[in-house]
Amino acid sequence: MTLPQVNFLAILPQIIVTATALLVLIVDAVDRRGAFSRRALSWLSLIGLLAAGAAVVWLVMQGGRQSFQDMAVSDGYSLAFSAIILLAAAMGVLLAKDTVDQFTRMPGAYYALLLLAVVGMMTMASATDLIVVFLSLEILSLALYVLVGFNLREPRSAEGSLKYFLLGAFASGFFLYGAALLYGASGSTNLAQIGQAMGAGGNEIYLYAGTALLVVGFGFKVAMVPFHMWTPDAYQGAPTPVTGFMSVATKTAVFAAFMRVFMQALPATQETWGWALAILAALTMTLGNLAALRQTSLKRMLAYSSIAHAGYALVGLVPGSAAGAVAVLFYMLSYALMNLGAFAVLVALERRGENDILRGDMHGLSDRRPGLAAAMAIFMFALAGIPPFVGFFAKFFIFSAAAEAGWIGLVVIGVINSVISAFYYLSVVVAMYFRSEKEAAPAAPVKARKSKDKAAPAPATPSAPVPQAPALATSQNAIRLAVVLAAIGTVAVGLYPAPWTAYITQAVQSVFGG
Amino acid sequence: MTIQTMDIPWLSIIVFLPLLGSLLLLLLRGEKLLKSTAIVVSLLTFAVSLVLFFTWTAGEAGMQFQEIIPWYPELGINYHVGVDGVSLVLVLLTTFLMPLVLLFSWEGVHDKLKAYLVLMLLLETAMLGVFVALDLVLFFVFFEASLIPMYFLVGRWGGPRRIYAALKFFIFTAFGSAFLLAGIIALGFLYKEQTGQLSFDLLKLTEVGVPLGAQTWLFFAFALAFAIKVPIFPFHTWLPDAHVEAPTGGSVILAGVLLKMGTYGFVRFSLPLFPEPTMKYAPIFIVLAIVGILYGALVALAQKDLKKLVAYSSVAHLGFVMLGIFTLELQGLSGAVLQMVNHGLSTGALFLLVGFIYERRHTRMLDDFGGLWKIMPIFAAFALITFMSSAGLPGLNGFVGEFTILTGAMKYGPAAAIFGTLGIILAAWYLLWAFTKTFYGKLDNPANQQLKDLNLREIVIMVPLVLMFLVVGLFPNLFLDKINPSTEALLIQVKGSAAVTQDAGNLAPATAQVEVR
Repeated sequence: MTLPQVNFLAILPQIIVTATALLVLIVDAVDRRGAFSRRALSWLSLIGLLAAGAAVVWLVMQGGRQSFQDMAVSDGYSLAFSAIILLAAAMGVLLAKDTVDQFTRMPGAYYALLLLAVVGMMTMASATDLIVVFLSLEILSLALYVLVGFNLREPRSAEGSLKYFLLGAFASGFFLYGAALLYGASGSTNLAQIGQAMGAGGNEIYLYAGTALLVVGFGFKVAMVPFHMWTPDAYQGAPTPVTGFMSVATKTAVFAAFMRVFMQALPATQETWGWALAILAALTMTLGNLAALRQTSLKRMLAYSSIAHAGYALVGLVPGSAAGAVAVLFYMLSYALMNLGAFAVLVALERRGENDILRGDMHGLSDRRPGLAAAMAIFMFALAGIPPFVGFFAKFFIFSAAAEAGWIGLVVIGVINSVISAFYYLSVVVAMYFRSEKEAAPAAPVKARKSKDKAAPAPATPSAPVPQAPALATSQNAIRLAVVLAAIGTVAVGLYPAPWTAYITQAVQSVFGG
Repeated sequence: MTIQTMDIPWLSIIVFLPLLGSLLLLLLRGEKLLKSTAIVVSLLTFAVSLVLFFTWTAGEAGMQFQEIIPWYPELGINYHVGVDGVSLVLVLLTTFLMPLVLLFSWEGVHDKLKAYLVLMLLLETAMLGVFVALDLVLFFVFFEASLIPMYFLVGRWGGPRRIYAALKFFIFTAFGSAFLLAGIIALGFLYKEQTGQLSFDLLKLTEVGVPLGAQTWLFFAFALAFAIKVPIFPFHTWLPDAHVEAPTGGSVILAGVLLKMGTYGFVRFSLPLFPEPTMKYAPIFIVLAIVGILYGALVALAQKDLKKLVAYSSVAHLGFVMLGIFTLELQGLSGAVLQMVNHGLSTGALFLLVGFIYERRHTRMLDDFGGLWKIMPIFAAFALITFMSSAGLPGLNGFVGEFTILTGAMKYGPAAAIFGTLGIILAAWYLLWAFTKTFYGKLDNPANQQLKDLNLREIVIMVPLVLMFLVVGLFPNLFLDKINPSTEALLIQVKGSAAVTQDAGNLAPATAQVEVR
């Protein structure tokens, strides 16, 4: 047996982000009350994320496969997922930059936890061993449990956090049990070796039971029905920047591992888990969309919508093909753009001290803030899968992969679900464009909000007419930047896909062949 | 294919000129400047589209002015555009109507004028894209994308029930499109099974042919999407809502162009891709078309609201188009294509007329009018010509289309022709009845006493339309010459060559006869 290769280059992006997280904590601890740290922390986090992004790009240009003891690798596949996670994290930082004071007095802890979650996620995308998958799952989960409960003023935040934690602990248990069974069946925790052992024939009961338990563990994290119960509460309770970040980045990371584990270690049982995932995907899409129809809170609506989107992405996993993996990867990229864009708009609209936006709050938005409304409309159409936005092409990739493997019935369920989803996404557009502000419920705060809003960039504004009136975040530049970036991405990636799809295809094929 | 245009991408210029115009509008300020820029852009688009007409290779059945650029190479999706005779006339119809609609909007639209104009131009790009796309996915992208601007036009600038109407319009179409999308994906992979390559290119797909076993369900998946869009009875319920609630400009475009996407879809995709089920199930569509003709006409007769009357007359007129397509005879199909244009011109003009009177009186109820001839003679004259055109008076455009369709229907089966003729009689009935109620009789409603006749702008809008009624009515071969080779080729694809070439000789007398009048 040759000694496994230890190559720190393979985990360079993780190292950079970890170092940044520690640095953030130190700066925060040293400069407790200074104005310096308030602003510097977000910049520091952003710079760290950008550096990690640069490392990812550098590794991509190096090409090939760097391996850290056969435990974690950096290959085209992991790097592509890492890039999406870093994008989501950068958006999470941008959204929190001017709003973090509204939900916490510990911005340092917020940024550090977010960065640590990113470390867990990127490791998950590069894990090639079940133990590392489990470790990274725990790293990202622990950080997220805390982040969800970060808003001390909001009882729902604590509630969501507790639910997420309790159910998440169970799911981790399931995952670990499944990994143990697979070890029992194959004698290894390494994905490639499990695949080889199972291809040669192993203990079938352990294999099937292990596979089922892994589906539960992964399914919980991506909010797959019937393991989705925590999602609406956690998403609604969490501070909105956290919701946006976790809805995208967690899914991306977990799908990366989900696909690698199932396609590398468990091709022997593909027939079985393909069917199981197909049924679960159909349930997830349908239930998510139907439940989203009834929501008036936009965060809750987007929570159910994210369940539905997990269902669409699962469809790409069903055939267990390279084409399916390409589709899921492209789906995650497009979901990152459109969903984070939508959450960015919510953050931009949130009043100080409030943690949610109702549909009624959107009434007449196109008159008050035309740019923001237009961006939100783009995100809603994109999420509904209406061309020419990126969401359509992402769904097209997914459904093509399923059709290629003969899952036409699943494709039909998927497209019908898209129509159902159009109802609730359009309801947001109706509120913004077709209803006037007068139809919104509270009149007084709206006025105060408006005046404050106009004067927002100028620091020397005399205090608002009603001092107690809820106001928007003082500066919105960072949030605006996030909205604009997401909107440009949502439009441009769909219309000019060549560079992205070419890279994604090559990345996936380098790992799964095909 | 000829080489004439390989160097200048005329089609792309035509399709994306309005899009560029809408981006330009975003930078401008001032009502007048916005309006005139939008009109200039749409006129420019029309002018460029005339290049197609005048440099057309006569007698060529296939696609002209083709362009292919890879778009999603991993999925075999290309930006592939091209026009044949069928698409050409619809492209011209679109570019012709748009400046008139924008000119109509010169007054009357003040709320969010910039957004209105931007959406109109975006809509034009989407509609033109639908008519030139030769890749099924590209077609779908434009087909669906056209929903967004129309959704906003109805929902923001529409009447009292605008939100309901906009949502219904969107969801109905999106529901049909869902099946269309599933069908398109399946087609691509059926092609891959046969050839080893993924492709959604219409020309490639028709060349290889769709496996017989899959044709039936794919045919119905496509037909559902197009039937809702046309709309064919019983999928028509969204149409009266959307038409009545839409602002006048929206109604004109909706009736004039958007509905043609459905009938065009049948002609462009269903016929060549699924010839077997097309022939097998044609009787169903013939029956539905006739039901639509009679139902639309009878419901129109019962209307009190002028705009609703026009909306239901659309259902009837599109029944004629569907009848023509599914006779699967050359006269029927060519007549149907010509009738698509005619319906766009006549119904567009009707909605404009309703818009003129609504802007003056803020009512469209027939009972509120009467005797308008006395104070609005110019308006009445234009209305008379338009009503006659819609009713199919010989010498005007409607006659040519309906006559050729009925000739085709006669060959298909006398019953179809008889019911169709009954539809024409009913159309004359409700149109003349509406005309009588509005323009004849006593001018007894005091609110009507002060009505002003059409102003110069409104006359400028109507004159090109009336000219086109006459051009199509008197020189139909100007267009039929371009349509016929393509429709003939289509029918050969459907029925095999022998059956069609036999008929081809018979078309000449039919159209020649028309021209003599």
